[in-house]
Amino acid sequence: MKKNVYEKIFDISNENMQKSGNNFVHPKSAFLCYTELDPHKVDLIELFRIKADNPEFLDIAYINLLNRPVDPEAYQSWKKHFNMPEQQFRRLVIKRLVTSKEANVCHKRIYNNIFVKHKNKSQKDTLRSRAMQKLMPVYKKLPEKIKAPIRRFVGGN
Amino acid sequence: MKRRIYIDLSMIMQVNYMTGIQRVVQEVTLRLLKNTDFSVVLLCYNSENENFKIVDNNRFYDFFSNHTGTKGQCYTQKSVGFHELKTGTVFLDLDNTWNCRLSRSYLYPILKKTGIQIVNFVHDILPITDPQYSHENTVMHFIGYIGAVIKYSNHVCFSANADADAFGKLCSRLDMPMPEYSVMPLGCDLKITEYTDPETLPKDDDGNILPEYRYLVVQQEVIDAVNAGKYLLMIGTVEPRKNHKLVIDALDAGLDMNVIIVGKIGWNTGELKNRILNHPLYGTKLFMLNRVNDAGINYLYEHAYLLAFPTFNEGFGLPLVEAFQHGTPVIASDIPVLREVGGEYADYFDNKDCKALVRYVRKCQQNPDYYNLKKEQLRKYKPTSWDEFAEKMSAALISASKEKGQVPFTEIKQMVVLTARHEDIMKSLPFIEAYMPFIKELVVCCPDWNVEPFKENYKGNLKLIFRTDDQLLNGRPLPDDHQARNFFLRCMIMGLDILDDVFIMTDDDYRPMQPMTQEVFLKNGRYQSYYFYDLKEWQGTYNNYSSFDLGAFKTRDFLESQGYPTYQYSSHQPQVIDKRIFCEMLETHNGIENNPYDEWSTYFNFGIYHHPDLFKPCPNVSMCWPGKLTSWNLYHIPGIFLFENYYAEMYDEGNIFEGFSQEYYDGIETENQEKAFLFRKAIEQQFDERKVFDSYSRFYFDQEGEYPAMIIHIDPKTQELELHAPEYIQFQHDCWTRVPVVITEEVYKRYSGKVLKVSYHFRNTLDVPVLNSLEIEIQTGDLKLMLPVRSPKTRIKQGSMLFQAKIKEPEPPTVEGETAEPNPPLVVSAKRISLILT
Repeated sequence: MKKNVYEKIFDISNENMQKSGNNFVHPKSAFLCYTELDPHKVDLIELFRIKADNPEFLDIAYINLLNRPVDPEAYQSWKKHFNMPEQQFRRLVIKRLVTSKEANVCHKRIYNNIFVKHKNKSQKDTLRSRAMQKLMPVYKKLPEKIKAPIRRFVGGN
Repeated sequence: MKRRIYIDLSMIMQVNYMTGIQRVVQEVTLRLLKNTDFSVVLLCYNSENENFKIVDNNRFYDFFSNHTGTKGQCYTQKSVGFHELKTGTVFLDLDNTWNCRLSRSYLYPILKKTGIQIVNFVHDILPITDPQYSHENTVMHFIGYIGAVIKYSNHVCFSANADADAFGKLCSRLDMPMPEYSVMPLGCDLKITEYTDPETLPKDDDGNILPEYRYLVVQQEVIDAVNAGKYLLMIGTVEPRKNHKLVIDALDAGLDMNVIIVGKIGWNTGELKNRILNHPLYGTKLFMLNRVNDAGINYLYEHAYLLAFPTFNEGFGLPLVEAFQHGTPVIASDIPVLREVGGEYADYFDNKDCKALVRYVRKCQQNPDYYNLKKEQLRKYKPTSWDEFAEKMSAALISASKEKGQVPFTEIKQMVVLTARHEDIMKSLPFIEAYMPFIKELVVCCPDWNVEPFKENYKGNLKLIFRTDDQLLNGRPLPDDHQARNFFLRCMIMGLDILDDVFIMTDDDYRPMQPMTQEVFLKNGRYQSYYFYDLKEWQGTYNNYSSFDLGAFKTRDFLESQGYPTYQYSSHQPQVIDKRIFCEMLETHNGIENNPYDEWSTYFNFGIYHHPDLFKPCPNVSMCWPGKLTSWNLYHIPGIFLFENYYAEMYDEGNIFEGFSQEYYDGIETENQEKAFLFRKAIEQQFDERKVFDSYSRFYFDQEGEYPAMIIHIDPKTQELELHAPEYIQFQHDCWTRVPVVITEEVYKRYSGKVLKVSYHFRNTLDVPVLNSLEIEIQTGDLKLMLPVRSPKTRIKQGSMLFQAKIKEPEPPTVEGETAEPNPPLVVSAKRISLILT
């Protein structure tokens, strides 16, 4: 694929870095994922899908969620998880970063957070809904004349 | 008329220190505020609200010029969105905004889309040329910044030719053209902060000098260091690039002079700092002062024997000229930028050879005549003033904001239509003739068989010119795809010699609604270009991407790949075309006509990018686009409806325009006004309904940390089909709301060949169904869609919404006379969501 301007600039900078006898610590993808990134929002499904190995993904997730690459201390502590299966590692990173205090002050709009389960209170079987389930077959057999006022009373169509 | 200049002060408003860059920002801004040619608007990025806060000009001036007030008091209550900056203005970026969270690679395309000129001051490109001297995070941010400058800037300013050369070389390595540029040496007529006798300054009850006067007092540690003996001064942030190491090495190699290092501690200096602090001469011959105020800096320059500037690289080297201004001789690195800035006034040495520095200092000490000659020479030094600098900056701003040209007055008299159904255009023509009297000629491009019926049925006064599809194609095959065919034919039209240079392009069902002049299309020397959306946000129709949608996605990709703006101009209304610019696009992008692109968006975005002075992007003025308000969430409410995108079905019984005339008659404007009123009301209602869902979404995000959406996915943990949905949802009664639905690729992979259907059901608090949707089939491959959801009519306030996803076998083809048994679903996933209706 044709390299874009940002990628070419990285290559030039990297070349100069190497000429000086040094190397960048962070991978190329970390440099490039800053470019043209909407700094206000992050789609977790898209982030989860990014092609990268575990250390690379760590950087990308930090930049996307916290607006900065991973710091050396945090890197050391994440290092022990690098052998985890990719999907498991990603889930862990996303979950931890999304719920971190730092993410809170980053004001990111987070989309598609399938990594945090809701308690879904409304799914609980309430006494009322259980009663309604039992009454429904009876209601269905009633003539329309009786059904209509019941519907009006309970607010159905 | 004053030129409006926006200045982004996001960084200077954040930091509490003043480096060379902040100095530039401050000095230029203060002067531009006083420049009567400009109307300056000061901006500061607000990440929480995703916009710019507006800074009060007077309070900014008072704070930065007179040290009165606080930075916090500089802000007004006003703010402006990134998209809301005015067309035809200039955005001036002077600060170190690569460190700003609002990355330029994100911001500049938005500004360009609006037709704003971008002017940059590029201080240097050292993070690219000498990345080893920058923090890696700085390099990361800088790549995005400088790439955006190269791609989008209209005018770049540099402080030295050496910087412009380096930038030019970078552009040529990238195969990108160098933007227009100016070189303007930095001002250095520092407002010298006269240090004052502390006894004369006002004090509080405890005898301490009042805080607002402290900057006038030289700190005691500065006086102590100066009194310790003749010294070599080094000023600048303590960081590897400044090469402090060489001066310490020189001290160890027998430099017979004190050294005072002044500057805040920067990046990667742990080792150097330790070396300085643990140096045997520290505190007697070697001093490091990290928090010196302006009075102290002035005092240090004034008493220094020499300024040493052994830096590896610089954008300008402000300490050099500051030292000159104080009459202090300078020994500097022999690098092009310092040679350019220091000229004959400084002496130069190899910045890798500490002994060269020792030798030079010895030479000065042993040869007082030479040293005095240098000092004498500095009396003649005339620094560039900040006023001169600001003048050059103003010239650059005027050059960038100056209209490079404007469309000369042109009479627009020709309209071009592509049509395969002469009946439709025939019904639109009376409207055109009545309300667009400047149109005298109609070029009709149509199939062969359509020419004669057209001629026979047309009774109007326009001069008709026909070109058949065969004549247009000239033997080239016509693409099958609707969008590709449209674009191809419109590109072919440009080859017609009967075409005027400037004409109106239309479709057969675009009808003017009221009398108008050609100013609707060409005003103040600019082509009025009407957009209705941003292609970057276009999601298409919810369940079945049309050829139009696919064309829009491809157009977006093309425009983005070229760095062009991305407004969507297929506003379903007549638009003005400059044939020469259209042809320029065909030449620039050879073979473009073979793509299924949106013809309006490619042309206008190309034009705005290459000829920003000739175009003005405006919100569309077309009614009935879309015809069904549920088709997509509108991008904006048009300010006025000048054209109707005619849909016959909108006049059917029960529909919005039932009873209105579909044919032209004298005086139909009154009906048109009524139709516009009705349509506006419907749109406004849609916006209000959306507001309910939008404010719920924001509230939900604040509470739950995510924006609500229905997500159908394979659970990464259990590997089962799962439906992720918000805990609660809010709608307005009885309306259509588009709810985001996301399906992950894994779902399609897992259930390849199967059909995905979704449905929703509303129930009241007693669990009685109040509204059930049909099952809606999701087109395979759709990853994100905005599903129109109809909320219940009943006046219940609460209840639940059951959202269901079913994976089914495809329906077998029905055979006549047989009723096919519906396939039972393979997998069902459902979520019950608490419902609030308002």
